[in-house]
Amino acid sequence: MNWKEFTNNTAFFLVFTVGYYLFEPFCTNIEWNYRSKSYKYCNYDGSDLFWYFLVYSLIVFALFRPVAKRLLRAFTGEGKSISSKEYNHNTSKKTRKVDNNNLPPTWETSKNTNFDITKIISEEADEGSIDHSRFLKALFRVFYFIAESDGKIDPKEEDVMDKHIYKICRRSMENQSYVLYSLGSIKKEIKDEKKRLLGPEVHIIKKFIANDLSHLNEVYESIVQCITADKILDPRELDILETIDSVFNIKENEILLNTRDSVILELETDQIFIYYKWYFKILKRQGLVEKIKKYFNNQYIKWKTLEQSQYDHLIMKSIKIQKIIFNLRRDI
Amino acid sequence: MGNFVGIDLGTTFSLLSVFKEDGTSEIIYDELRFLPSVVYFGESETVFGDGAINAAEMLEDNVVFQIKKKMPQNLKYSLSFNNSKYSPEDISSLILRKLISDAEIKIGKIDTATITVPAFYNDIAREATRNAALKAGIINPTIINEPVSAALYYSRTKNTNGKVLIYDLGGGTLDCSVAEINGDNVKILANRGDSFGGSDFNEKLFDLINQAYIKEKGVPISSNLEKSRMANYLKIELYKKLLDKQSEIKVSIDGDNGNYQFSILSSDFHNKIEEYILKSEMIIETLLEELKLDKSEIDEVLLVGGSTRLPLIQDHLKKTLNKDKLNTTANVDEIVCLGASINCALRNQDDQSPEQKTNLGDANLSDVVNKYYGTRILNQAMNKRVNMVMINKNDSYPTSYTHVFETVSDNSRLSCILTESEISTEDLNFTEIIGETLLDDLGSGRGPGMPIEVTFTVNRDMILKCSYKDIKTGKEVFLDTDLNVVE
Repeated sequence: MNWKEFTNNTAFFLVFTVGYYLFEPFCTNIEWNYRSKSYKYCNYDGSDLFWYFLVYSLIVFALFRPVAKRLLRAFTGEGKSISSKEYNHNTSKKTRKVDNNNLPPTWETSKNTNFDITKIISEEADEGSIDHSRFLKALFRVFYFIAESDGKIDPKEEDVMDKHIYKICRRSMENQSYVLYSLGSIKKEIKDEKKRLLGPEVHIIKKFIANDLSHLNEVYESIVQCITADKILDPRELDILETIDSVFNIKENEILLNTRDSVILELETDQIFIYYKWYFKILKRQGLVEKIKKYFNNQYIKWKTLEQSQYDHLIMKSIKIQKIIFNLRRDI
Repeated sequence: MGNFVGIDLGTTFSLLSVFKEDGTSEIIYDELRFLPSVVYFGESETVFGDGAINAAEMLEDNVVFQIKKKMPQNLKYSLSFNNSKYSPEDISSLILRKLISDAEIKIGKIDTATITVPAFYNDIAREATRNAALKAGIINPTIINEPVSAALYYSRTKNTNGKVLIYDLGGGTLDCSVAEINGDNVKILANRGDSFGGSDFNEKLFDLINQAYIKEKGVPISSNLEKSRMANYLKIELYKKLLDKQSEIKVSIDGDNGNYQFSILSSDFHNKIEEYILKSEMIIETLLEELKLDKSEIDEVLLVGGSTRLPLIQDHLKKTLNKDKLNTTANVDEIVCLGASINCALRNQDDQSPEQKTNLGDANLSDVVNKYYGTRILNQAMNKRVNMVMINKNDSYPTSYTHVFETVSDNSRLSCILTESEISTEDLNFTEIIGETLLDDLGSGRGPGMPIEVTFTVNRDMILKCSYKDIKTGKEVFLDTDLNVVE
């Protein structure tokens, strides 16, 4: 264990605190009476207590600042590892992005409703032993597992995570700054972790939101967006996606499958080719010939929409991808 | 009583038929019975059909083939000849005008006609076809899907009954439709199609010939392959027909580096067009899947379109649909056109003579919408712009759907975006925008949460019309998909 880990370790901090309060009295004016099993205050005065606490505070400040901060937050109920300025900045940036969207004014369906995130969270937490905090940690661990799979965390991948935080905030009826601080704190904490596992964390996510399809879909969409953030599908990311898909049982879930498609099919033609080939192999490995046919027939019909497009580049893309689909279908 | 005319405006050739007093339909064009859909814009005159093909063979510029394939891009695509710009709609109107003026010599004035279009055509192409007919002088044009027209003809003349698959592979388009035929009642259940046909097979054959030429001479047939392909139009068509009957044919081609004679195997040609066979298989599978139908539930397969004569296509259909026999009892080139004139009579019952009324009987035709039509909205819960489907594919038309939306911001100007797609989806990437405009006529200055009533209607020609009504002020705007405000 290096020095940094030592100073960041809650157990060491507690050992130090207990030790300090047990042994410091010997060095100051307080004595331990073994018979009465209590402190015996000898020559005690207020200034001794002040110096006693001051020395303790200085040592804690010098050695155990991160742990002390964490414990203080736990007591006061406030979470903040990223400065409020930084997060406020991020929020306003997101708002500006939405306002600046070039699309023309739109309509809103009258069926739209706002969700109370806190209510959803408490209801879901009651369903299993996983609490919301554990779920969020698991989610960020999955995000960072994906982000680090190619050796470095891309700012675009961080953007996806921030966007997901923003989505949670939008749905929340709580004070948005508070939710932002909490989520930002969890995100930073997970980012600082040294080791992460994928499978168990995906299972935690699945268990926590399995019964809420819209939430599951939203989370899955963000996960796939994180995978495609750098616009390239590398083999490690596809392996991760396969693990996640098998936990989420995507082959039986048309909604999630459509979500995955809609995110990945925004990529360039060469990446779509990689994706189709990858999924074709998975289905073929599982011997699902009828499923391959159905899936690729649907993809063909989907791309055909763009064949009659007013834009030549979309027509070209549609034709190229149709060719890819034919070649794969031929290989069944 | 007027003439009830049906026009098959084809990719490679066009036909015209008339519904007669005795309740039958007849092709009334010249002795060849069809007009090649080719136009040559000469300096002094515009030439159609064989004359235009001759011009192409003489390597003239300004020859237009297969304009029908460009109709879905009518709003963006245009060609320039002799300092004038022509849209696909304009060129189609010239072909229609030629057909009508030739036919009028034989049967008199034509005011009413049904024009056939591929079932998979988008809304822009349908509207463009209708506009082309209006430009050609038809006062009351109506539109019908080609397989529907064929089903109508089969139902009246061939005693076809039951659940049928109409397989229409023409010069440039494939349409597959499943219909229920019960006497004179034809009910279409679903359509699927693609934009390939016999002319694409010709192109593949030309590619094959060009490859052989390069192998022998080291250079392509011509530096301008497109022009060379048009110049050899009839020759390639002939070779294709020969390859249907023989396993090997002798080919002679003139190119920039002289003449070359060689043999082509039918198996090589079949390999070249394999991708179209696969496309066709995927279309049929998707159509049956869409209707949750098993192959065994299809009672009969009706063939329509010249390209269904290819043994390769017939073998593929037998294999894909597990059928020993296909219905080949009608003239596959003419069925669509003949059905169109019957439809023209049905659509204009008030103008029928008593004899025609008796002969038409209680014929009833019901078709379905071929795409999903929707509008782009903001889903506030997801803070995401999505597509909302307003009219579903396979709904019988005419049909209408109304939904009340609310404005979300303080925008003083309202806009609308109309979409169509092959699948029911919220994903904007897989929708095609067929109309996009500001609704200034509804007025401005409204805040968020104001109700706007949006109505989508698919009319009897399967053309989409929309209306937008500000419920508070009562102001209403009507739009068609080329975004003309309809008076």
